[in-house]
Amino acid sequence: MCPIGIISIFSLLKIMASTPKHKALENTCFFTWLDEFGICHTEVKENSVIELKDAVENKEDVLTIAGEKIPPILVDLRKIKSISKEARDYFAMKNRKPGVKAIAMLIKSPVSKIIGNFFLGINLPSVPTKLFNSETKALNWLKENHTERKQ
Amino acid sequence: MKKKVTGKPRAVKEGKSATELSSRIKLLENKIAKQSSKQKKTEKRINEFLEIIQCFSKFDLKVKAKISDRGDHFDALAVGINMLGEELESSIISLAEKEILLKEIHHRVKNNLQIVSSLLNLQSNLVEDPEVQLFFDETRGRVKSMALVHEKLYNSKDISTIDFALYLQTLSEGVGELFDPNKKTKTTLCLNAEHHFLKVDHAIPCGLIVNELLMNSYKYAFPGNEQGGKIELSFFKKEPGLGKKENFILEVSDNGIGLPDNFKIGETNSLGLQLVEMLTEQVDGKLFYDGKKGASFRIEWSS
Repeated sequence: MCPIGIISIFSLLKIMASTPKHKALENTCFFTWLDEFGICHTEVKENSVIELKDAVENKEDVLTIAGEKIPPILVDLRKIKSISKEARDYFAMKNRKPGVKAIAMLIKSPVSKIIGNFFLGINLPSVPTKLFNSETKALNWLKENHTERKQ
Repeated sequence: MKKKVTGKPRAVKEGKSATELSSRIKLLENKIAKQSSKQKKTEKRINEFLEIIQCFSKFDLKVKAKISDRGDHFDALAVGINMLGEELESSIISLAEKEILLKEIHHRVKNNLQIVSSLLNLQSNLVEDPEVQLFFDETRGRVKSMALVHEKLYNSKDISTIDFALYLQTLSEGVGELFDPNKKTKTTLCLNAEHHFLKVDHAIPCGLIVNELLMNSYKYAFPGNEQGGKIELSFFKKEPGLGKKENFILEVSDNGIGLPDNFKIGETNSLGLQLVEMLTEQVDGKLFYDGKKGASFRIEWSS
């Protein structure tokens, strides 16, 4: 797990500087922010071992930054180390009201591929979910299918 | 293919000094040692995974594969194995929970049916008319035959089937006690049943059929006969012919006065025999009967 220290503050500043967004939050395992299209981004920190408490924190962060709206979400799993069953079940949103409209998962590392595919099979979330290797394609899918278009 | 090496090594030909040659050999040795150590590490990790899979096969699902910070293919394998173990454990637990729940349901159904039977018993004690009392007793017998299926079910290993031979043993003893609690008559009941397992959807109707036929024999087969008679109850499986299904056969017969002339089960006023006909249809079975030498009934159905 990445300690909250100088490195993580730098990472957060880097993300905040590179992406125009309204709010950005950090917790033990995730950076979470909202972009100008109303898409929520959540990036898993390097070598994060995600437990249920981290999943709950992440959901609270998403609710905080999204306000009353239910956003689509881009989850960057590329640096994940592992995730517990309780956290997977929580993210699958089986027994709770979904906090997001759709989930695009970014995968690249062998570990992220395995975890992503578990989410498509055994722990399938109750909202549309898709895996992507490319961030651009993932954002396009979310923008075209799951954001509210301005008239 | 192996090639025969002849002549001097290129380095020697090129006129390299002994020190240069020696450092080159050391480099090669280091390279080989590194490769061998990498191979050993690979083998060690593969063996770890194999051991975990062996543990899974013994339902030891708590074991976890180690995950390094490298995030390589071995880590991906370890994450996958760990997640599969967790999912397997959770599904096995939910299966066990279902089993407990099902046992609890059968237990409660049996208890509720026993309460109904006790209520009928209390009511019948208040009735003086022997015919009405008999009506209560018969109804109690029917309720008990169903309660017994649920009792056998929650005591059975797989909760969905019961050993029908054991069931018939308890049921026939219960019917005997109901009609002859003090064993005044000398009517004997001979049970000959093979041990076969029936599912609940067949066990309940077949149990009720046996209950009705036994009650019928006790009530009508031996009127005024102080010597009593003999009732035979058989249950067995008929070996099927080629390409045919196995058939179960249930027979109840007695050596009493037999059935009335021109007896037709479809036209009888007896509630018990009407039930027998109806329940035989329920199990998709065939009913055969004969009333010349005592009464005999035979029900056949496919497994």
